[in-house]
Amino acid sequence: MSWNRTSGSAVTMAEPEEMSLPSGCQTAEPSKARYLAIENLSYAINRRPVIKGLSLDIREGEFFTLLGPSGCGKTTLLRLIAGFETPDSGSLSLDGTSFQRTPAARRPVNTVFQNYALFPHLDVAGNVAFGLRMLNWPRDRIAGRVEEMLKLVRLSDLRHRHIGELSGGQQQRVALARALAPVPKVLLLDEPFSALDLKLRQEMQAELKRIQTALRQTVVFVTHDQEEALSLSDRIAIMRDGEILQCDTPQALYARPADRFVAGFLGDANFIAGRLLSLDASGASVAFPEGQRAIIRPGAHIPAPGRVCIMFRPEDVLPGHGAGLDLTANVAQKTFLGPDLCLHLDLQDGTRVKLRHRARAELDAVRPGQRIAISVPLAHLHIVRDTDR
Amino acid sequence: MSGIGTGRLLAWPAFLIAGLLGGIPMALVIACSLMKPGAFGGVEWGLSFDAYRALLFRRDIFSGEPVFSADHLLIYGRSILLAAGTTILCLAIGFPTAAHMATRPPRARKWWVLAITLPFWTSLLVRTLALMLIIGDQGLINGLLLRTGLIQAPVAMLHTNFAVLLGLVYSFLPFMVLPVFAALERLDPRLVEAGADLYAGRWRIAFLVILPNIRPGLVAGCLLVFLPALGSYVVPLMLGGGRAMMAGDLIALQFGGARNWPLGAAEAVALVTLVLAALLPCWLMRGRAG
Amino acid sequence: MQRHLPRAFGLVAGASLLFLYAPILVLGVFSFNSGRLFHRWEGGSLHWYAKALANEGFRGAAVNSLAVALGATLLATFLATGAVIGLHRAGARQQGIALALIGLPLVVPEVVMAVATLIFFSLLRGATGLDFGLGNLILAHAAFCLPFAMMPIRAALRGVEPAILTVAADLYASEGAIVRHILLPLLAPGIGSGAALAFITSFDDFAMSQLLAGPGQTTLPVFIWAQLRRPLTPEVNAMSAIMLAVSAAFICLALAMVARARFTNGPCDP
Repeated sequence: MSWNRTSGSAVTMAEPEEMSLPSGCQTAEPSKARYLAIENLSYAINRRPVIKGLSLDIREGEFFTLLGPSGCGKTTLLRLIAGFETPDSGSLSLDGTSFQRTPAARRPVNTVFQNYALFPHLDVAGNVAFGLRMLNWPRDRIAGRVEEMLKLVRLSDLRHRHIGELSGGQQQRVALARALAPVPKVLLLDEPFSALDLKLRQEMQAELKRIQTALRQTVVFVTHDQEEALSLSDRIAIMRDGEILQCDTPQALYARPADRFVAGFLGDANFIAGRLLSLDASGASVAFPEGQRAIIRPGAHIPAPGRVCIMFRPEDVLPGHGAGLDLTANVAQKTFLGPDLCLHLDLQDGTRVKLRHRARAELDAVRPGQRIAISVPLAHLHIVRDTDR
Repeated sequence: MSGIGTGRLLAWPAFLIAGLLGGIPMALVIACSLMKPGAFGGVEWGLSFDAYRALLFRRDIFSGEPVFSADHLLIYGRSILLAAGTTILCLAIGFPTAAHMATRPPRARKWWVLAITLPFWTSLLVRTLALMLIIGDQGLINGLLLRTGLIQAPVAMLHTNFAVLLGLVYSFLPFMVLPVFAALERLDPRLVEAGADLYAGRWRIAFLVILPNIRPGLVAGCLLVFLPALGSYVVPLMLGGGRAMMAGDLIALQFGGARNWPLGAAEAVALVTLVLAALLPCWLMRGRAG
Repeated sequence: MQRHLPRAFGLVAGASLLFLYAPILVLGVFSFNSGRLFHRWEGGSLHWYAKALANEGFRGAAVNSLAVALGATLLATFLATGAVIGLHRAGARQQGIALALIGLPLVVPEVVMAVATLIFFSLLRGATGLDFGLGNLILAHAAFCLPFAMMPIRAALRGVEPAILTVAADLYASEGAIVRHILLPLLAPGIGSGAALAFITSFDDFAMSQLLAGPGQTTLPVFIWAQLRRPLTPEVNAMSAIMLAVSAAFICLALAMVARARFTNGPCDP
């Protein structure tokens, strides 16, 4: 059984054993793709394991996001990379050189904090110049670099302002400029936009992406907001309880989630139970409670015979039978969402299923309590690992 | 966590001075109390419990036998009573003052706090002197009373227990007002409104609603007044004039004119023991309340 | 809440304010009295001030007071700054013990502290012959001014966001650089304020100075106390008023420094 982990698709399938993606996101490719390499990292706080044997490869120039719910360890992982904590075991290396023993002050890695932590006694230029002063850059080089950074974040006019006089968005940009000024090999951001309101947040996200692309800066970004992660990242690692569940491009994660948690975390998902009858070259043959059968091509997760979990997105459900998997359901609730309509449906066995569609006359007419027919195209059915914890 | 760790070295000089001029001298006091007095002040080496014996006994000049003497007990007793009296008076004056301050608008409140705190930062000697100039025989009050003919001879206010009490209250009033004020600021105003809603009159609200709910502030204020008052030196020295002695100026006397260092040291040990004894119940209560 | 308090409370508050300031005001007013009585105003005059300033003993004591206060302030402020910076990463128990030792002068009665210091220096002189003269007094003052200098500095440290120190380390600052470039500038107003408080505490001190000072080491409060042995004239008012003015000036300085810092650094809300 060979497995191309980067593209996430199966090459051959013969054994009916359940095989799942290892906890990690590593490549066997040459070192160019392993710019920031994390191997088997473990870290415990007060004897409670927070990071459990985690491995990760981040590419040069990539916008890499650590996404997960609170407490999953993403911020801790970031702090381990930055050097504010020392791992209990495992290794960290940058461009081939190991650095888990180097103190934070000497790592070519800079962090943008959630609450900015700007120096109140220095003005904007002073803040941006700080790292350069600590590195003993010559005075004129510092001045030039500060100007360059301020221009990059579009704050050139505010170079002599005091921190207390800046708005939230402006402070955020100073923090960014300050972290970028010393040309760090990796830029770390710890939920930098969570304190901003929606419109400002979207503006700053666009700014960050623009800057990152222009500079080809390697970025590790931490967030719990899946929309933010999906829109900004080249690759995302979904974390839970100190482990990486799946690591891939946003498109692949959304379309082919490996397990139930990932599927549910990255947007809305419907789950129904099925039984795996057989698995061969043409696909997996699955039987459903209402008697239907379907052939589904497996994605990131190879199922074992027996009970399987099938996932499909609300926007892929079509009214009426015939598109693929046919189901009958009772309408429990109808929700108006502006341009879309969302129907909450109950299947025969009680499973809750959501349908989301552009408002249409035939859907408008539907009332709670009615029985309607729905179907899901086979291509939009995915087998996911059932991890219901 | 990386960052400042070895900076702890910076703290050592402060410990050195504090230990050298704070901790060690205290130990020396105890040592001194167990020695014999030297001829011209200072001590003579040699273990002796004479100083402690002198706290309760004196040698009868005729028989040479130790006889019980209540002199020390009198002075220490006066110290306790005066300190207690000061505390009660400060409470009686300080609580209404603090309550009034707490109801001022925020800007005015800051000025009040400044006004109450400022006297603390001026010399206690000067402030006590100012009191002397008012209550002394040639002072303001007596002078005015004599001139207007209300009295024939100056009323002796100075060098009495009353003068010392006045001086102590004058000196320690801010120490009661500030902690009580801090506690009042944190008090939920709705408690007061609830009291008013349930037909409590103004005085009842003050004593049955407000007072019980600021107990920590009251305790802090009482401690901050009682303990320093107990060990007070300048006020009894200037306003007591040797006739209303407290433990503080008694101790100083042994190191000045009386030239009996071990006795002074023993008296100091007794005073510190008294202070610690007063502190103990509060410390225990805090431990239980946890 | 005001309308629920007894109306008498306002009167008591006003009375206590009056009580606190009346004696000082009377002292001050009568320092300008041209007569020599403390109860009869005979017109304004500066001649008691002139007498006080011409008084050699007063001038000598003033010089001593200033020298001791200056020396004690420098020493205490320097040590306090080191202590606050050194302690801020220490564990809670260590901090507790350290603060208890440094705060000893605040708990122990000042006369006991003074007596203990006297015994210490006397022993030192007896055993080693070391006597620093006025330096003895400066050291003793520094020890009991230390906790007063520490208070505003610790308060200033509490206002420093801990994340700022982490960021500085992230931006390649060594521990020494963090102290020099981040901590000291941010603590500066607290240090200034602490210095002012230490100065006032030393300047106003009587108990320690009286018991410890040898001949030629008289400080102002001790000098004024000595004047009380002789028949009193408003000259003593003038001398006291000068002392009050110095203390008041320094407390205003301390407050101004803290206020100015709050204005320039401003709130920093993300």
